[in-house]
Amino acid sequence: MVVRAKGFFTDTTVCIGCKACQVACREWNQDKLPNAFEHVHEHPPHLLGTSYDNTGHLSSVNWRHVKFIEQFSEDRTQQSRWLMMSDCCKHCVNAPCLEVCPTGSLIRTEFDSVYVQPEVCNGCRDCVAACPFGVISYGEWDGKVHKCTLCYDRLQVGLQPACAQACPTQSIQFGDVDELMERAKKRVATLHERGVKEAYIYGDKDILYDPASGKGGLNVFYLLVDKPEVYGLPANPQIPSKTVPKSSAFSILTAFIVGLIGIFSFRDRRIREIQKNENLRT
Amino acid sequence: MSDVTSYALHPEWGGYIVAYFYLGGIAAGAYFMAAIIELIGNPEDRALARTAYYIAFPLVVICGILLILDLGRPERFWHMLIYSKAGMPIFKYWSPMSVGAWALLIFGGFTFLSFIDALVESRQIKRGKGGERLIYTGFLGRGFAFIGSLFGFFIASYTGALLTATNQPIWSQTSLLGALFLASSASTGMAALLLIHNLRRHRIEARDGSPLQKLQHADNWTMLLELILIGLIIFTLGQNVAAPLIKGHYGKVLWIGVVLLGIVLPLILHVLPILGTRGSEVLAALLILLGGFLLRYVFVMAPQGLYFSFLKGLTP
Ligand code: SF4
Ligand code: SF4
Repeated sequence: MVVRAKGFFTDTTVCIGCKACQVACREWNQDKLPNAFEHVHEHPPHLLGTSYDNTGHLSSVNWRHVKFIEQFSEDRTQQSRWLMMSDCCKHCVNAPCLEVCPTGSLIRTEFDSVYVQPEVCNGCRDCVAACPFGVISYGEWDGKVHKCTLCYDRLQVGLQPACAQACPTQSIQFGDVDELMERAKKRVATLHERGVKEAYIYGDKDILYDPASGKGGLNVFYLLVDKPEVYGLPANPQIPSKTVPKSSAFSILTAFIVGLIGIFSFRDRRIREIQKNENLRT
Repeated sequence: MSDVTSYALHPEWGGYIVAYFYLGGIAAGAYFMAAIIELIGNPEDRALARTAYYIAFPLVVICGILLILDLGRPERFWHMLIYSKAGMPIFKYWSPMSVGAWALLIFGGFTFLSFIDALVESRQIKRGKGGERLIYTGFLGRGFAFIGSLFGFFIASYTGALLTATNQPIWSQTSLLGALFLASSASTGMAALLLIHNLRRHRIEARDGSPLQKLQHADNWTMLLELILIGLIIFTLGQNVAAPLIKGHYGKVLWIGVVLLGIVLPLILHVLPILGTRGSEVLAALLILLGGFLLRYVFVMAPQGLYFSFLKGLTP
């Protein structure tokens, strides 16, 4: 039973790229992750080395990732800005990963978050293929998938997620999704007033919207000031199950054609033979 | 549909999955052709159906093993069917992988019974006087063949629907993968039967109206259908989205391996048996089987940017 959906409102305009959230996440969840230092020589961590971003993307061991988007023109005078965005699982309302998971490992919790039950997952990776945001990732070290849990273990004892608690600028705000959305819309209005006309919310109802249920959106949503693609977010992700009826219809049609081909190939000659036999008899 | 950018991570479905799609397709294709023969064919066509039963079951077993090996936690393969925390069956009709797991299990049951039937009929298993049929008798037998063929069709095509029910580039941008895999399964299933019967010492003569000729006839039309579907997929995806399929390494494999060697050449060999009937048929069947494998390779691997190392030489 969902009491009230919990999530994050991430206001990217106030993120300073300090990565406190990323560190807090890694620290709180270290019991669920392989020891980073144990095999450091055989498996050095993947660091970009070309940007302050360094970890590059979300992964099975980095459930939070602060994206550094560097927008500099050749001469650095036309345009020069850094966009920063602290990213994690969106805990989608219509979660593609959860939808396709055949084992029931992915569940929706009482906080309306999407949670991988590690004791159930068998590493089929269908969820990896389904997540439009490249969030859920396969862990080579244990053959299962991993992602942000919205600190399920902390929520159960009344704490807020570690990242939100650590964030010094309130870029990550934790709370009830409906309240957060109101706050976010106010913030967008304020920014518009101050001349930041590009500000908008990514992850309101329109994203992954299902007309059948009238539901959609991301429980973890963002305030952005450039196109979603600039932040590595898809403009138009799809709900996997919605593709099934069309695929099925074409498959059935083809099955029908192949069936007919088979029937005609094996039947017309039979008819001919029957005719031949009859001709012989008469 | 023109959106080229995708931010999804790839599931890294590699060799095991390609092999599963391919072998499962052959099993399913051969099996539903057998059902058609069972339902409307002549008694003399039945040798083909029996061969189909002989290959379908072992192939399905291999498929099961391949799928298990592909899992991150192979020992948890049964989680596909049973929700481990409650000990209850789990079935999500909206998830192709969940439905597919059940369908494969049931299809396994069908192919097993048909396998036994073929053994009894050909007196490999002694029962009564032998030579009689265990399952395929009367109305119930026909019902069995019909329902079995539906599962065959399902196994041949759901793999395409499974790829589409994701957020991966190419896969999720066409609804025709299931249709394409079905056509390819039918064609490779028939090719496998053609190959086996042509390699047998007492092969059925490929004279006019013989079972092998009918099969060849059916395969030709199915290959044409496959060709049309490949064209439709590329056309509807558009050049930009389809680029990974039609250019570079995978492009070479698609145009040369799948289309030319796997479809066009076999069609020519079927129409103009330049190597003699038997030689042409054997070569054509081998080429069809090769093409079917490469088709899965291109469509499964290209969107994920994965390679088979032995094909890597083809990389530009
Ligand atoms: S962002 Fe990806 S992993 Fe998170 S709930 Fe949505 S689909 Fe699942
Ligand atoms: S990898 Fe695990 S969580 Fe993901 S779909 Fe498969 S069983 Fe479910």
